[in-house]
Amino acid sequence: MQDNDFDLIKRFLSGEEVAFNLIVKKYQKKIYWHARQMMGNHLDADEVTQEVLIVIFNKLKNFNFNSSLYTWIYKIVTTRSLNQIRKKQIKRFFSIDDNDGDELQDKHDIVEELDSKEKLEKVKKVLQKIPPKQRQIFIMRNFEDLSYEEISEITGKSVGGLKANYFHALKKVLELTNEKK
Amino acid sequence: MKKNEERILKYISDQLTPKEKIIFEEELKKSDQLKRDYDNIKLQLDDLSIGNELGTNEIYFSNLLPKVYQKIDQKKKFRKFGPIYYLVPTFSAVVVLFLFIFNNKTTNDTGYKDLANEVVNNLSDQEVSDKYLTELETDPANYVSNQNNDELSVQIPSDLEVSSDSYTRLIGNPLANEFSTLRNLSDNDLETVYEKLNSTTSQKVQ
Repeated sequence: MQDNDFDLIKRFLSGEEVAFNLIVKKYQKKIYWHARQMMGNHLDADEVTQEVLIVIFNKLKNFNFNSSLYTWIYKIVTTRSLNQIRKKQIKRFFSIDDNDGDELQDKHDIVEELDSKEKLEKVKKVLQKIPPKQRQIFIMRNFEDLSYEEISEITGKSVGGLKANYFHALKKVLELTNEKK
Repeated sequence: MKKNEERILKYISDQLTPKEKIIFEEELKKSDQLKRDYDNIKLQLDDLSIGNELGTNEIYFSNLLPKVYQKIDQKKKFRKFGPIYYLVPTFSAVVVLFLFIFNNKTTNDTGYKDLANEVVNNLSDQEVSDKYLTELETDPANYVSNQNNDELSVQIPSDLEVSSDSYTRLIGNPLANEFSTLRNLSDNDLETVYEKLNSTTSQKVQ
């Protein structure tokens, strides 16, 4: 997979734009779903996804081939998602963005099946109540099956710190799911 | 449950030492309660996991790339002409700011500054004392009359009587001077007033 990714990057750097299209096709869903779980809604996730793809296009020339493309992309997604959350918190503080506009979200949402929607809503209600950094590690461990070492490479945090963070995230998630019962 | 929960979560988050981990796994095989609690927590967490089975609208992902290229083109154009968009309002703001600052300085400060400079740079203490204070001290009436020459030429009726109480009131309340007819008296009347005033003050002092 890594060789294939490196090959795609080299082709892109030599001017083959189609190589970028292949990178996007390969990673766009992973990018979107990480952003979606972090943000809790489609419109913000869409904004983050597009932003990430633009960053990849512009910064791919600086890729140093020391890490995998997957890890490099993940670094961008996690940073941009956290930034977007901060931006939203600031907007909410100044009452520029006082609600999520549920009707608008529904209209644009790409999840169409009712069962999927219900499940997503259930997860959202829990995840949006835990701190963003705990949410981030919970998503990476539970939904994306990443190892602590991979998460450490992406976030730049120690494995020990990540384990502690994940422990607190799990505790909070259980508290919230038990509250509902 | 609470007692086991902490250990189970530490086990799941890989926070147990290798030794603790072996003990926990052994206990998990033997203790029904621990096994029940562990399964229960696992179930709750699995219930929250989302796999690839979510039914999504694939058109969104097909349209994503064209949207991204469109934004990249827009950014390229902005980078090309961007400086102009920034420079025009920035330059206007700087001009307005300069005008505001210099206008304020000329209207408010120049008068005071010139006067202060004249006193500080051109006049010595002796000169200030000779030119302004001596004249005022030695002949205040003349000093004032020189200043208000035009107003003093107005004639006051000769039969005007002024009671001695009025002089006292005038001295006691200098503000009243401003609104009195004193400044409109003729030279003779003024001299009379001055003498009476003088005698009244000396009486008061004594």
